[in-house]
Amino acid sequence: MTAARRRAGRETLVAWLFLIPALLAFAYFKFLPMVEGIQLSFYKVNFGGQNTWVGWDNFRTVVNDPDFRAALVHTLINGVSVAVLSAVIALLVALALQGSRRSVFFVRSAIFLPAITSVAIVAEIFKLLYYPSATGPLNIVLGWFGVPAQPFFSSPDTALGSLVGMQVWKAVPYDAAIFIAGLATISKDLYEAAAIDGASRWHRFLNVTVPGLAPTFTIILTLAIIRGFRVFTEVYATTGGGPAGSTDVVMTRIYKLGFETFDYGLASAASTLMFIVTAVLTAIYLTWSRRKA
Amino acid sequence: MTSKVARPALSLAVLTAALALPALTGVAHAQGTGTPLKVWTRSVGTQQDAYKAIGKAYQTKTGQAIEFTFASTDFEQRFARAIASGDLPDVVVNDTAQLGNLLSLGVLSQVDRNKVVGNKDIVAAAWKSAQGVDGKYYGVPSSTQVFELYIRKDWRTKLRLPLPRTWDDVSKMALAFTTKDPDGNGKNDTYGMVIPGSTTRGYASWFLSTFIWQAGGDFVQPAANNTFRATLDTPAVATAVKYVRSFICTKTAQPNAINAVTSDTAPSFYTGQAGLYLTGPYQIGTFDKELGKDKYEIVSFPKGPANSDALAEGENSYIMKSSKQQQNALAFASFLASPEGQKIGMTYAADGIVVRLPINGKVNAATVRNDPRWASIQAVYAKNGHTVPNVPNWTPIRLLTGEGFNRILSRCDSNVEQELGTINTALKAELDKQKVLAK
Amino acid sequence: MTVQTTRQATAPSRSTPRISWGRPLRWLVFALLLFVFVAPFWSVLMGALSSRALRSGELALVPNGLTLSNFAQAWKTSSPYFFNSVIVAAVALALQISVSTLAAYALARKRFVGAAVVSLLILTTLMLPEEVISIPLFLVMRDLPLVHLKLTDSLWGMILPVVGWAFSIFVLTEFMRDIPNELEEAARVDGAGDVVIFTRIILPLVRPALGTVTIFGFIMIWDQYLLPLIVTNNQKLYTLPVMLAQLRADELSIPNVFLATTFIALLPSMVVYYALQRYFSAGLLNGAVKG
Repeated sequence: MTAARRRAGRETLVAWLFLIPALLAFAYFKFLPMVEGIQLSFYKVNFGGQNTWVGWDNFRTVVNDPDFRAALVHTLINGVSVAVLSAVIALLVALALQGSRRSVFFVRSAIFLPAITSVAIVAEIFKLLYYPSATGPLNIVLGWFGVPAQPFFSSPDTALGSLVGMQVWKAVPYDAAIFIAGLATISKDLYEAAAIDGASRWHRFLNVTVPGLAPTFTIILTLAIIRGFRVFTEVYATTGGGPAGSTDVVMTRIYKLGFETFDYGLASAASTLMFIVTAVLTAIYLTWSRRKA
Repeated sequence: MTSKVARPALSLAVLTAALALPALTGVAHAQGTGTPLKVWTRSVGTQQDAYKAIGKAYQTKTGQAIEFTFASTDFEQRFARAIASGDLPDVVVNDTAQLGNLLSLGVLSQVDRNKVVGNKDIVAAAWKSAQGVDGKYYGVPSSTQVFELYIRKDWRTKLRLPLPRTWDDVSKMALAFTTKDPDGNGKNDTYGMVIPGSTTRGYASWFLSTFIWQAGGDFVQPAANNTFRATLDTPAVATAVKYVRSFICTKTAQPNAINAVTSDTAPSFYTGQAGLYLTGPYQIGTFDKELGKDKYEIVSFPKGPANSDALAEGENSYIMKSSKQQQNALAFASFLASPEGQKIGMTYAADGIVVRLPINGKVNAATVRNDPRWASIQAVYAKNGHTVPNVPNWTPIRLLTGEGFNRILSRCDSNVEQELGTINTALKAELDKQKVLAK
Repeated sequence: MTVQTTRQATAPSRSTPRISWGRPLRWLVFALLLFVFVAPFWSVLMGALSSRALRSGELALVPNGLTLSNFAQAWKTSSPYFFNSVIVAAVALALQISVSTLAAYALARKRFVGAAVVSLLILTTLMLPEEVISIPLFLVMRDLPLVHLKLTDSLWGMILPVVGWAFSIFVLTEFMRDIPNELEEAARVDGAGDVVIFTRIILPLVRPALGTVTIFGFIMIWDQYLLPLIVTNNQKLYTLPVMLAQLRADELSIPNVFLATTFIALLPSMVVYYALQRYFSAGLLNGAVKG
């Protein structure tokens, strides 16, 4: 009994020892700043002198700011759309790129380019692709199918959708790679068994593939939710939150409210709120997916 | 490190010593020239070379070394970082419109106008832009500029159009540039008016101000006791906004106008996409290089319903309160404002001018540059230059009006008067926040 | 039994779900995918190779006057920043992988008190937007508590904050979980301690995962923009993304040179990916997915 307990104790000690470098790094460079950031939410930050305590004022300003609420809605729409669309399209791409032919391998690695490109560069590329005139590259392509020239980023009605498109373009190759791996883990025997039972290809897809991909979906969607809330450069480098605030997301609002006017207390309060919302959403999603499994 | 008590005492001693020195030498050596003077500017490309040349000249003259830091759009982050770390430079050369913002951060040193060598040579209008709401001065002028209209001369002459004299003429010219293939390449790929309509940094507001004033309106009107009334909900402002929107809505502006920032609009003009550009003269060098002097002309924007005003802004050398070299900082700022400093800033780099129009009355832009075009720009500044209202802090107002105007410009069917009313309410709230809302 | 095996041997692909292609249709789909995901990069390259400036809003399919001068100019101005980026990325990546493998070993192979809490804490680090913690992070780095180190104004300030990354920890954890216990038990019987097991047994078996986290760790570190800005105001220490952003805002910069600089910035990530991609696909194949 004691030997086992001793072993368990030693195991814990070793575990913590191995964890220390990572935890130190997180403590110093993530948790500590975060705690300080939360603290700053309750002050009006005066760099030259002392910070003044303002209690809940910053939070109140944020919650009452109608633009901020709109930004929250945009962030949610953006996050969910990108997550769902890229997952679906990525699955289709993965299905098309299964197998080990040389040509498939070539295409798979070639199309991975968007995944390794920084968001800032993707934004530049799409500002070009989405150019709103009839001679804009994407409009030329749409013209081949008889679709009239679209304003993309230049109209409040199409800007958010265009942003979603840009993010889906960047996310699909990476998600597809994960799906390809996930598809390969599903045991061939399951398909065999279903085929023998006379299931059609569609039924095999529904009853073997989709459940088999459940863990994959969970990862992809969890990461997408977290990423969705942090969206900033994608918006700031393309539309700056416009036109007419149609693409304002939480982070651009924070940037404008806090950083362009040097009001860090306000920026911190907004970010604290955002962090709480993200954490809650992630928790809800993980619990729900765990319960389903 | 001097203790908190000793520091003001030391500065006082230094100032007293400086006062005792005759001002004829132009430069005070009270604090010694050992430590480099730290100067920040917002400059890119060859503008940085120009500043370095100014620094070199100053060092040759006084023995004082200058250490430059050049920021661009990352200025806010880097500046905030400097404040937070107590590591501010000695001098910051930045927009006159930022005076209120910097003052509200508590980082500016008050400038005694009389201590600036050659202060009487600096034009009155420039001094005004270095003045805070309390009437005291917080910077030394270093440059100024005014907006004028750049027109593709080859397009205009090809289409046989006369120089525009009214707002309507400009609209017609924009339409012609868009529809009549002025570059003769057989493609429908040219446009009229270049517009930076983005909300980023308040560009939409910055661009619209010229039109608002030309229509006889203004953002605010001064009232009794140093207060202001918000006046965006007036017919004049509506006229101006509708006019600018008409370009976008008749598709005679460049296609991405609503999201365009200034680094988009300059190439739009010089790569031949659009032919009318209302902007400042800092791009002349680039236009000469990319287009060629003979392909474009510069005129003042045609008279609006009320007047021919054009946005005038400039840059000041701001001295940081935390600087331990107040005297040296002021001396450098004076040098930048002196004929020698101004001349280097104007001519060192053709496409990187850091002094656009001189703020020193003894310097003539056209003569120094040997370029008569500058005479007309100088004339526009003198006659029609209009600076932003003298509120405590212009930056938040520029940002909120930028967002509001962008909103109006982005929907061709929105009710302008109603939208202006909404912006006006927000403007009132901001004026109230700055404690200058008229009762 | 034998019947089934034969069937498997002869027609293994019959029953897995795939959209059945004719040959031409497959090539069409491939062409479409390449067009959608690769063509934009091709245009960037074409613009960078063009000597004449394109009109605003136009893309080049072939160079508009072939020239390498844009690349020469771009390299001249960006090479100091490029080298800063290389140094930061190399050192930070090495540290990041070390730290992540150590942490993953604990989370994957050890049962201990507080494991769930630690996992959760690590997950939350992904939710912190860096813009927000930027100023407090700066204050912390100016004078690191307890050890009183100054990380600002040095490349170390750009290296250390990215050493801890939840993503690589999670990927490695998943991999290490899959290693059969028998291997470890056998080693323990032979008297091996944790360090030996970690270095001689576990690490070699997770090479595919190492490939994966190297690729993505490199890209994450290479693309850092805000961190260098927070760490220093000294232009000489800045990395490539900062310089690129400054160039982007520079009204006087030539568009084609900007495209060339963008391409140069893209190159290292491409190199790292293509060098290591076989590990990546094999890696994912083994169940980073099982989480």
